[in-house]
Amino acid sequence: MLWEDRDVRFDITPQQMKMRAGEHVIDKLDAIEDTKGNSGDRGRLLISNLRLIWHSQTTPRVSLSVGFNCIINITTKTVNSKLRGLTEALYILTKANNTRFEFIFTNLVPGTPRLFTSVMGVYKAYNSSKMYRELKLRAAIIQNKQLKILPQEQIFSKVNGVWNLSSDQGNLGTFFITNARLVWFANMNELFNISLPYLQIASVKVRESKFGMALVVESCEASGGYVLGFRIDPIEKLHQVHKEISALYTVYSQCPVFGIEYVVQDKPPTEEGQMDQLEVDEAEIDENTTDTADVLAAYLADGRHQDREPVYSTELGLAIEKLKEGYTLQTLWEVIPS
Amino acid sequence: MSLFKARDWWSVVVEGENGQEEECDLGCLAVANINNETPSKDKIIVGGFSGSLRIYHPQAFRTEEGEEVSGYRADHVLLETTLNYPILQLAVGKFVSSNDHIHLCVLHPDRLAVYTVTTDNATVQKQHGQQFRLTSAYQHKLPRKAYSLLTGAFGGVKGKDYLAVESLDGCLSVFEQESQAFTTPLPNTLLPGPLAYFPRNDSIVIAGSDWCLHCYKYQAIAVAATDNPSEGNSSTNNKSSSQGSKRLNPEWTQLLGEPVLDMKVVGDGAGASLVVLTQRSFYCLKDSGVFKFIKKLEYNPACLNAFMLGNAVQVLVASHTETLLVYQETELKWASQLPYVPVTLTRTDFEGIRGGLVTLGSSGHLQVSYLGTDPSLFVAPPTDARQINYDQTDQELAKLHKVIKASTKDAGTLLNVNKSLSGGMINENDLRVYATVGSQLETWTGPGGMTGPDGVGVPAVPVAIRLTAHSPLNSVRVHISVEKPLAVSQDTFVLRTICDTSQILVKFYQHEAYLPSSLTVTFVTSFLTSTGAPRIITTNVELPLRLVVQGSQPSKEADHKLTISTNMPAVNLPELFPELAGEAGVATAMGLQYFNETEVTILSSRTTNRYRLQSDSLAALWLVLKELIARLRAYWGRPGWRGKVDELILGAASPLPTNELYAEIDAHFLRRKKHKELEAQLVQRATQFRAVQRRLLTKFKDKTPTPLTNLDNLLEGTYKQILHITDLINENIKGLEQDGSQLSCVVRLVLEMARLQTNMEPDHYSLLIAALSPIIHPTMDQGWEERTDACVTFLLRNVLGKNVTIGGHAGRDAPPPPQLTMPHDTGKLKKHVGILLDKVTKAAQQLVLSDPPQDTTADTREETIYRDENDLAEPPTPQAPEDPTQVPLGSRLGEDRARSARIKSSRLLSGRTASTLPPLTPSSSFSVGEERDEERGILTAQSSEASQPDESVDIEDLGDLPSPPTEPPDPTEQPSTPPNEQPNSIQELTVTEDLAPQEKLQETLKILPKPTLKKEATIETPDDIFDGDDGDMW
Repeated sequence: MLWEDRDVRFDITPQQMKMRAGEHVIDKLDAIEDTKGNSGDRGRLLISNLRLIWHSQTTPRVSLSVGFNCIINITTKTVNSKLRGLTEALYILTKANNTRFEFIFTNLVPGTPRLFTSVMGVYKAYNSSKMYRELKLRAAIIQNKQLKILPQEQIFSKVNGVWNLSSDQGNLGTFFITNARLVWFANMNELFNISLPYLQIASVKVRESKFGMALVVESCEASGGYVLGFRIDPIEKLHQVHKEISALYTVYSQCPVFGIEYVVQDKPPTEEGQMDQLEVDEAEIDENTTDTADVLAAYLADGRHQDREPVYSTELGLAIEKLKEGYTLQTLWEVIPS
Repeated sequence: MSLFKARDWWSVVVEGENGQEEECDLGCLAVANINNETPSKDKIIVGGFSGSLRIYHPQAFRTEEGEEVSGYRADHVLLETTLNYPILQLAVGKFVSSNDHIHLCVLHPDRLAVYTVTTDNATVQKQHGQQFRLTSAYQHKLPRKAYSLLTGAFGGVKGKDYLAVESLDGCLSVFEQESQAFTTPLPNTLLPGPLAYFPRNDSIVIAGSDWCLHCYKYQAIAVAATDNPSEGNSSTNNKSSSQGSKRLNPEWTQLLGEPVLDMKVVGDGAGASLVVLTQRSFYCLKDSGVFKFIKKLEYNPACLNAFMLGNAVQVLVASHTETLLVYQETELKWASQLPYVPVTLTRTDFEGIRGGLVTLGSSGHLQVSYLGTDPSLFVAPPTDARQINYDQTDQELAKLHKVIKASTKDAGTLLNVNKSLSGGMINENDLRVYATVGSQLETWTGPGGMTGPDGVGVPAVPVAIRLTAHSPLNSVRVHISVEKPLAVSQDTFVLRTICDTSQILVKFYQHEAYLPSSLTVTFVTSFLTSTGAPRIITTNVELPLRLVVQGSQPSKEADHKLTISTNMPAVNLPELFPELAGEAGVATAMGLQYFNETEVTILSSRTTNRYRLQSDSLAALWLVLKELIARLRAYWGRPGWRGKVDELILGAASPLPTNELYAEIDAHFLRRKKHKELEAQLVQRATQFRAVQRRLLTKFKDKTPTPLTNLDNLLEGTYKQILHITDLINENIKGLEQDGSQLSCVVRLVLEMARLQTNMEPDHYSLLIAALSPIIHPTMDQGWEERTDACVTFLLRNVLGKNVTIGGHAGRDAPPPPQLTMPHDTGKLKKHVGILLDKVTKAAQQLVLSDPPQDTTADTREETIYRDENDLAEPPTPQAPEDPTQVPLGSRLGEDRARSARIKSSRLLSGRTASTLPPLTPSSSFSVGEERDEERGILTAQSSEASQPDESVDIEDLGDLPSPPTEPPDPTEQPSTPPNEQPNSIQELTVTEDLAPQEKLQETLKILPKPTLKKEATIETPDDIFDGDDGDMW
């Protein structure tokens, strides 16, 4: 299960800190302070193609993993760091599981913008390569019946005569099977298409449907849990396509093409990606996570976990967050000096 | 900034081609039931400058647990395509004549396209199975580059919407659906502005570049256009014809005085009003052009939306401070932080949210949000629960307590805090400055170095300054001050940030060829602490002697000699000066040479435990003396070293070289005087120059040319004179610096000798050094002479002259302090300095600034009484050197009896000055003279204490230090020690053993004089050396 880029985790285990298949360290900065949660602690920031990992250098157990997919916003802010005083810091707002966390990282080496350029650059690269990792429906991916392929993508095969069974009458279309995803589009309407990366596939099966034997591809829950049925005639071709997709699925869901391309501009030549160091202290890690709540609390953006649901406010004519018991908009507004 | 934040309900980032960032603007967002489905559900249509067009259908969905979850899902995208041209604006309306469905109109820079959005299989339950089509209905090519689009039922058509495109050059092209109606230039349009349409009175409001709103009837515009058929009916861009178009008269005009950002018509029928957002306010107008209300804004607004809520106009304004403000008419109802600055915003209903706020950011952030009602108050971050080191925290607490105590003690002024903490931990915590003098000398190669006597460059010494900051500090300035003739490679450094340690490397070298007076270098580091308090750290470093001298042959004869006595056996000179010994390596004699070829010879005598310094220049002795003392102290200062346990005591065996000091003062003063004279001359010449210039000018101006009568020669001559004088001044300034340095050397030397003679307490010494300052700035306005005179006078009067009142002048006002102006001559100063030195050394007066008045019970001893009288005799002395030939000023005004009485006494006293002055001179003269004489003088003085009281005191002071009494000096030996001193050095250890009883004796001697001195101090304080001054005043 891919969590690296989709979650914010605290005090992660060395196993979690290891790069997963397809993930690699893009940049490593050695003197970074986590100004928000571990002020005064010198730490190391690893920027992989999926996430940011920060860990303290004094107590390696103290660590963070921030997936790029959780990031709402990256800006710079002037903060007062314990180690550097008033300085420009990287400010990252994230949201994971409906909880907003803020992170502030300060580069302790003055005069180098590498923290900003690397993190923002990788984040930009991550954002512009979502097609590799996200399920897309009705996207602008087909042009003149041809798939607009992604930079790291290779088309393995193209299968004509694939019926999409999501509507009653069925839609005749075409499969493109690539190293990153499975694409189907309707021959009659290029705007009707599906782009399903292997990362988002939960299962690939052949099973009986009301239209006869069909290839059933389920997308995972996080991407919507869609069940997509396809019919290919004759049945041998169906099996053949199933076999191909299954094989590619097993390979590329293990070792996915994430599609993030970023070259560090001014990387000092002495650097070499050594993650192994961390494994040394594996033994003393205790798995009990009783104090994670405390850890979380340090990073909460508003000091609070969840939003309440929206309700319509007749006073404002806009949707507002449901008020707490005993409060009115009036009372809330009037505490603020205007 | 609001306490409330907008809550994200659904959001997505709109991307351009290939995942690039999209750029969006005001018109790029539309919300409508664009696929005309029933029941009607609003969709969000977003376009971008890259040409991407997307239709989203945000909705909440239910999970299997029945929980309603909001947020983006893949199937919320209904349609995504890329049009080939940038999308400037989107509009929805009934744009197709064949049906009254809603269509999408897209404005590109050069075309207007209307599309139909249809759902193929709307009945399909599964969201992801639905397919949508975008089919083009019609297109108009635009002859002019488009700026914005306005839609509406122009002309009051029913069930149709027409399109009006405003071009960049201010023309309005109206399209009645598929057919083009007309194009007309809009008046008052230099730059295109926002448009709005009032359906009720069928008029178009245009925000003109004259910062006015103009309202035109649609009919009038149409008529004006059709009067110019060539313009209206063809799409040919015929500008000339537009010039002759009929003047379009506005229905009404309203001055705003500000550029308009956006405007919207809200409400319908009679209640319709126009909301206009400008850079500083928003306005609401009726369709008649009458203002309903105006709200001035205190922030920079970005965009606007307005809607009717009941009968009130609800205005939403987003600001560039990322805040959404909700106004009901003019009253602010709510404010909320937004995650970005929106370029456009609207309000709509989706499944799961009513009144959701749709905002589009300039880089394609699209969000449906609602207003949070939980204030985001500041929450103190939870304390670090990890591994608390209790010992450390205790220590920190103690430290902090100390800081708090220290800062509350002295009322917390910045300076005091600085003072109380400067030695303490704050400084240590903030910044440490270390300076390390390099041990290796190199030859100075940079500019400005002088050349040594042997033609090679002077040496330079590198000094590394290390600044260590424990917490990061910004803007740290380091200033390096070094006294001339030494110079530094760079004297100011500004370090923007110090994180750990920064190092500065500078080099010092001799710049001018005269004698340096000090080798001390001061590093002043100023910075702001992390709390913002300014701090200054001063670090002093001694440069090595080698920087200014080199070894040479010792010389036997010299004009000036100084003798230093110690209680320790004399040390081998090469041992003391290992780095200079190389060339002249005799154990008891060593020659040093400054770069201006002044030589100094150091001699040491084993038998007498004395060192002698001799040179032709007294000033040259200073640095060497200082170095010698420092090295001796260092040599003997090591505990348990060389078998010695007791402290090294140094004494000066020579009297103070007061006469040389006077000579130096005079030399320096003469320079200053000369400077004054030269300046006066310069003033005179400059005046003359200007006068000649003026004459010449009038001559040249004259219409009838007249002979110049040699004025030109005069001008040139004066000019040359001015140049000459300035050259002289420059030279003199250099000389002044040089003499100042010499004077400084001598003053330091005198001070140091005085200290050695009296074994002064450090704080007394610092008081003395403050009064008789060795720091001589070459300033013209307030020179060393008057400053020192004032200080010395003060010291004499307030510190040494405690019992002035007892002296019988109680009723007299204290004489005014001397003016800080350049004196006529240095006689007074010299006299005061002489008295001071006399008192300090011979009378061994305690220099205590804030002592309570001492007991003044009369001492009956003859000696003291005599001294008292002697002191009494001194007061009038100031007059004598001032102007000996003149009768005191007061005597000329003899009408006042009281005065004349005083004059009498002052005359009497002035007459005695001749006799009182000399005591200073003989003592100093023989200090310079032969030592033998001196020693003899001492001896005789000892025997005849009563008859020569001044000198007896002299001896007492000397005796206070390890000195002759027990050990008769061997005057013949000292100058010629070197050759036959060898055997002595072997015996050194035994000699030290032998010294023991002698030391005891010295100790007793040391103790003995003290009580008597004390008494003297109490009684013989000058009663009134200043009476003389008073006499002057009259």
